[in-house]
Amino acid sequence: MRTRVLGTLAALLTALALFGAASAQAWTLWANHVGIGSGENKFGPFVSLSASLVEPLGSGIICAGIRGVGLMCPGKAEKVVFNAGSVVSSEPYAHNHSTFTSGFNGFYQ
Amino acid sequence: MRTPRSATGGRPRRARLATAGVTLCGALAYALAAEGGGAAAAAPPSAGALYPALGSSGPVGLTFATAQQIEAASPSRSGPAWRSEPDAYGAGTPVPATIRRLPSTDREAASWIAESGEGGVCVMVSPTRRVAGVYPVGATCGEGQAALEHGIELTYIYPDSDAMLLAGVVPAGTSSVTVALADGTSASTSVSGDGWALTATSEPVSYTMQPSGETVTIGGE
Repeated sequence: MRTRVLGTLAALLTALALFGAASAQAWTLWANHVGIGSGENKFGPFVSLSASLVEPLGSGIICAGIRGVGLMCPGKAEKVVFNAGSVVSSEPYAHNHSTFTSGFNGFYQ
Repeated sequence: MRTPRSATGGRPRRARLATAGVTLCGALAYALAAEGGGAAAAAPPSAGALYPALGSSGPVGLTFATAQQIEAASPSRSGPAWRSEPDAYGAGTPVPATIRRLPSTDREAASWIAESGEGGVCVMVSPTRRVAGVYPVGATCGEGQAALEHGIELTYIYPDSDAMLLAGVVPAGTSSVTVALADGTSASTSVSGDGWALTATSEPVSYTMQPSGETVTIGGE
């Protein structure tokens, strides 16, 4: 009986630990196939976040930023990560560095 | 049991068709090999072969932290930090174990080279001073042979001024990089250990370099 209770408790703690790790590592999608004009910014929600990521849809150069912390722009249409290294309260955002309208997916964690 | 033969009394029709098919395939393979000059047989160089900096040693100058450590503490408040889990940022991002510090060519910028999870090469950049209380680190990777042979660039734009940090990685043998800026001027810097970095006050438009002696311009279209 005691062994069964301890086993159940251990399984519960493991599940909680795994859930915690998974939720802490997960990206939250804030922009799903969103169009963005040349030179335009698109801001996500005001949240607690430590990183922002954008992936371009097409050939546009889309930058990833965190408002008030800065912006990271790739030289080509590639995925880019902006990592604050600490949790900050701000908004993830994307900026279109190309001379034409393009699209992107935006995430934060 | 009789074997069906052709009207001319030669080998069975099925056997002759098979022989013709094999001959046709052989001729096609030969023609394709001749067209490609035999280049298809040579394996393309890997990221490690084109970027010796990936094999360098020495202090990385980056704190590796788990998601829990980033949430519980503030590792980036004393220096740049990066997630230590291999899959923390998803496919096409730097593999933490391969991250190497690049020699600095600009005192405002720290930069790193890494392999991506998909065999490409990555560049990472961070300002050497705190911004909004943290040290932001950015990363982008290039996949495919063109990216490996021409390098990767990344620009950090400060939130509170027009200043920006430009950084990149280029294959071994590239000695300098010239960046055309949006204000019509240009800036050049030397390459050190496959990396380069410079400070500018106008956004980059294109990058010109000479990997393998051939002049390559990226961007500007």
